[in-house]
Amino acid sequence: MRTSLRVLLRLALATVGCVVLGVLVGYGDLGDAGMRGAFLELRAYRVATAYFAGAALSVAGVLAQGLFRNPLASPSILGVSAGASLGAQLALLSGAAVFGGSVTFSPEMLIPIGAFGGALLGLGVLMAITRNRPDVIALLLCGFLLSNLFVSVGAFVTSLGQQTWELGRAMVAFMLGGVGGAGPRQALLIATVATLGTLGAWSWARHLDLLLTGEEEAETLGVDTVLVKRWCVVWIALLSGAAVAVGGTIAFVGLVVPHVCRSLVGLSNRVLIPTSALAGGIFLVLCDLVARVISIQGELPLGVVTGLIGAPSFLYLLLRSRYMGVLRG
Amino acid sequence: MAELAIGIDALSIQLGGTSVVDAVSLGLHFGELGVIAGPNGAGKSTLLRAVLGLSAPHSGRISISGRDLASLRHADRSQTLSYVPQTSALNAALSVHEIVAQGRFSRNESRARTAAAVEQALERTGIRALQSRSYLALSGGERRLALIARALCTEAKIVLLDEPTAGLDIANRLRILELLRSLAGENFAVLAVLHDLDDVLNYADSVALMHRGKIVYSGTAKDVVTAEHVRGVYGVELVRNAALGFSLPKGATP
Repeated sequence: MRTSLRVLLRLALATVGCVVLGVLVGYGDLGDAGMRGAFLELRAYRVATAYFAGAALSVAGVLAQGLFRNPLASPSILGVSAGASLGAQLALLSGAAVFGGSVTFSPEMLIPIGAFGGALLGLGVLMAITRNRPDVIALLLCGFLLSNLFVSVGAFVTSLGQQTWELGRAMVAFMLGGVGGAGPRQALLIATVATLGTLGAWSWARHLDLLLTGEEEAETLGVDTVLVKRWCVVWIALLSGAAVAVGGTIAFVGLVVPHVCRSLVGLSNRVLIPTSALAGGIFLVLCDLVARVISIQGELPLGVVTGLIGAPSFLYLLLRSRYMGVLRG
Repeated sequence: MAELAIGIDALSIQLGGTSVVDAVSLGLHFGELGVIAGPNGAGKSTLLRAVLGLSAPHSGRISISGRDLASLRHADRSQTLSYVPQTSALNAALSVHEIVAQGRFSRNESRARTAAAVEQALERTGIRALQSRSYLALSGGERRLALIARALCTEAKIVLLDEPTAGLDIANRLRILELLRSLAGENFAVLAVLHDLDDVLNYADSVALMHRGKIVYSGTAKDVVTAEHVRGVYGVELVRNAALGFSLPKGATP
């Protein structure tokens, strides 16, 4: 059996395992017959949301790395996640203003729209700035700057939100991230976007394979690079925006998971995209389990867990890459 | 007379307000090995990029096999014209086989058909033994052959090459030039940018000598590569070295 198929099968089995684990482990006594159904239902939504958010972020990472021809690109590194987060905060704020200063409105629709818009804006600004500057340092610095800019503006927006107690709480909860409060709407939203996004990304897989040789060569081999870039930007924004909308800012998933998968199945995006989707889902469900198990004044925010795993991994990849020579001067 | 493969009519290209290609007209037929020569900055590569549709012309027209270049869709273009860059921008460890298979991207065909085309291209360029090697691990000459194999794998009958022999040792240089010569013999239209005037004299059917964006001389290699023309365009005197057969600038030692 081919290696890639073997890896996909193992990941499919691991998916079943981690979903069962995610549903069975957590607070609440499953022995209580009266509450068992409610506990299982809540956990199922939570696991589904974490799984599809992880898949969405990983596929967005594969797309970003293919689009920028850079293995260190990912939605969080490029400031796309921060842009999505800012967009969601602005949506909450403007929604509260429109609906009379309270959060009695349903934010389920406003947050995803704002997050998608923010992600699209962040990616658009980054692409405009780094146009004709394909080097990794320029890309990382621009991503860092944009990310900080969005976080700063986001902090300001949050401070504005504090004038209303409900809105302030909603904003802080959103910023901390996590899938603890996920319900059927969140699970359905992220499952739909992640599935469509993975299929959409997969349809551009061969084109992305050719982009490895550079835009001009790809163009001479028959790739409509303008069309590919346009669609990849849309899918990255949708996938990142939806993941941020249901789980807040969850960093590093889109960077670490595609890297690990690439070492398992190689460079072909036709295999890498589904592999990363499965592995990303498993990774985030396991991170959510860690967040649930390690309790410090309530649950650990999910973004903290992915950050604690992702940041050292990112540093390791950076140190191992040939770009470190440039950084050392 | 063979069919016209590439027709360039009064083509002008401006980059940043500067005229890089100025009212250039050129024709290349199937079965012909054409060369664009000239000093650095003469506009050779820009002209080649324009034929590939990568540089937008300011004015003028380019036709490929009688069809207007602008009317060709991406897939049609890649099946009509193939391109061999001087170096590939590839920064990932793809195998030679994977690189060559990229030439079949725009064709909707079975895996078996792709495999057969790749096999044929590897065989034609003599690099079958390298097919599992990483492109990044190849020598300069091997990389160039892999890129030529990818171009041949497209089955396009017009092949454009940007300095295919630059930086290669004499054995690899001759190997590639012989390959280009034999392609022209198989009714391909081959258009290459070359710097070495000895190679131009020995291998080209036709030459366009460019200087400051214009074609200043064109015709057969023997008519174009003359001491007088070279003096006028490059500002150097050529002498023939009887022992090696190379033309060297006066005063240089072999």
